[in-house]
Amino acid sequence: MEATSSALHMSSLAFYGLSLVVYSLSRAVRGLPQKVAVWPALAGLFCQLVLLVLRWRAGNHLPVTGLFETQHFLALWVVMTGLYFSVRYWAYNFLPAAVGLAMAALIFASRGPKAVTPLTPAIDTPLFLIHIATSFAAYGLFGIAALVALFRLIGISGSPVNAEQRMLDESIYLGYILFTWAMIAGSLWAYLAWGSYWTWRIKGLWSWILWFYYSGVLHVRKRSGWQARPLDLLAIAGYALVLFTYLGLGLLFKTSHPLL
Amino acid sequence: MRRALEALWRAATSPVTFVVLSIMWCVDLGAGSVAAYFNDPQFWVKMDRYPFNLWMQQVAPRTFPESLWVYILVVLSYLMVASLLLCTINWFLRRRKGIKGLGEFLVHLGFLLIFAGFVIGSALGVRAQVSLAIGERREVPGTALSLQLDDLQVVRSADGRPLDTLSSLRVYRDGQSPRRGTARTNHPFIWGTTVIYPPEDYGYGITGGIVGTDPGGAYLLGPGRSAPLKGDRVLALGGILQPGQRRGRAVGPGLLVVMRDRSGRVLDSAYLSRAPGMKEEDDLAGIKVTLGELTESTYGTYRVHRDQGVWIVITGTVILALGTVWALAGFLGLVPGMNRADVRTRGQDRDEAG
Repeated sequence: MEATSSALHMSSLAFYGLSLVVYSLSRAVRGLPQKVAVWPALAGLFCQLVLLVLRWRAGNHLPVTGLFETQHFLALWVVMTGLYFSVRYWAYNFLPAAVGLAMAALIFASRGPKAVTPLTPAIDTPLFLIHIATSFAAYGLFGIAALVALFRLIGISGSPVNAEQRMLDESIYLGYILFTWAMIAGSLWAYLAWGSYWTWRIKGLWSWILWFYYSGVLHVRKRSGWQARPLDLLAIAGYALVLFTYLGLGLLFKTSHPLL
Repeated sequence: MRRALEALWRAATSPVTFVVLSIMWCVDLGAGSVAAYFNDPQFWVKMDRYPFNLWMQQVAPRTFPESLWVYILVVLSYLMVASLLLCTINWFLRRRKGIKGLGEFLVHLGFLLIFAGFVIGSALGVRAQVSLAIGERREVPGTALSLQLDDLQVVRSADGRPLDTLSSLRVYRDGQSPRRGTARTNHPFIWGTTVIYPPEDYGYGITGGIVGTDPGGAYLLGPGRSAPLKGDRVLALGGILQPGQRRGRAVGPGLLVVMRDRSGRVLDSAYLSRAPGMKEEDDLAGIKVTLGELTESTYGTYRVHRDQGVWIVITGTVILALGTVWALAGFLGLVPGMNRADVRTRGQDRDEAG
């Protein structure tokens, strides 16, 4: 399974890289439409889906354990959302940014062990699988929101139909709902496994900070004074918070959620 | 006066107030949590041992001013919840438009219930630890319960590594017939608001021993085993130290032997040990006691948590989850009459605020 995983992993990276090349060519070569970059991105997505399905069958559980699988799951959501925006809002300019973010996640995934391991009793619960799957899906969507915000801030048109506001809104809203489910599943799991739905552990606390932060963003996102630049800054700062909660805490502190 | 009150109500029910309080809460918790970790990496582990209110009463004053941020967090939490409550009431009174916004209302209601449950659980909750050998029954401190360990099996992987434990337990509550259940990882023994978790620490060790008495005879003391003596007195086991364990001057392996009267009052006690330099015999209220053979068995240390607010929290969680599902359905356009892309104007913001 390790060899197959490596092959599919490298294939997805290669296809995403090709998507970036095709997009760059479309900017330089007249007559080559930008939407051609969608096809290699779709091929990369297909490789990822096959990889995750095979690992699911091999491990007999949702493949969301360990760095390798979680980063694949995150990349999957990022590319799916990027493709959805491309098709729905003609946001072909935005697709390379989403693919770039997915590639960063996949390169990071390379650091993790690729062997499929059985679940230990502590994580052998549907609550864990829901918790992790929804967390990383939400992280992916918050990443997309930050990219859309960045496009708006630096004045690049991501969508010819001016759907950036809607793209930002959709990523944050859906990301927040998924993250809420992650918090619910995580809290129930903590209650059953460790004795309390609220634990004073640094990872849990920062996850609550993240949840409250995006609750605040949701409360102000449609208010007139918070449109445009303030909302963009909030989305970018939110992703910085995501990265700190996921990577920063894992690297700087001894947490109950080890990174590797 | 009326205008001032209206302005106050507008400020109290404005989502912006909630957002500002949320930001302050996040900053306080973020900075405080990092500082606390660098001060003592075990800070959070220690804090989790207590229900929150007990920690605030017993530990926080001792660690002041390092715990100042927790006091601030408590104040901000109450302010935030008050803001959310007023916001929700205001929204309910002013914006009842059928099913539109029901998702958001449920999310807010669920969150308020979760907070209420947390406050109740923190105020009335109990967290205790009980060490039991197989066959032993002990009272759970702070509750009217006693816990008995019937069996403790270690579940191992194919290569023999311990993976999990399966404990068969009995819980007794004042005079009622016992409730039986099992505890293993992710599947604790739940009885109402009381939860018994699988043992954090378990092993094979000394669980009792034979104690000789003069005058008298030899008695086996152990979990649930005591020895009646003349004069309505009872010889029982008060505690055990495993090899190498220390408590004060006492060093293991050894047994703390106690003599009680009929009412259970301790009349005298003696620690008998095999450790070098420790006594194997002693005088106990005029009776010479001698340590005989030590018996060994499997034991486990169980955490027992009681949280009276947990069912309110679970109800709140279900409502909150339903709210998110409804909100998502609306967002995806599956609920008629809900427009997902309505960016409001300043006038609408003002109207909503009252």
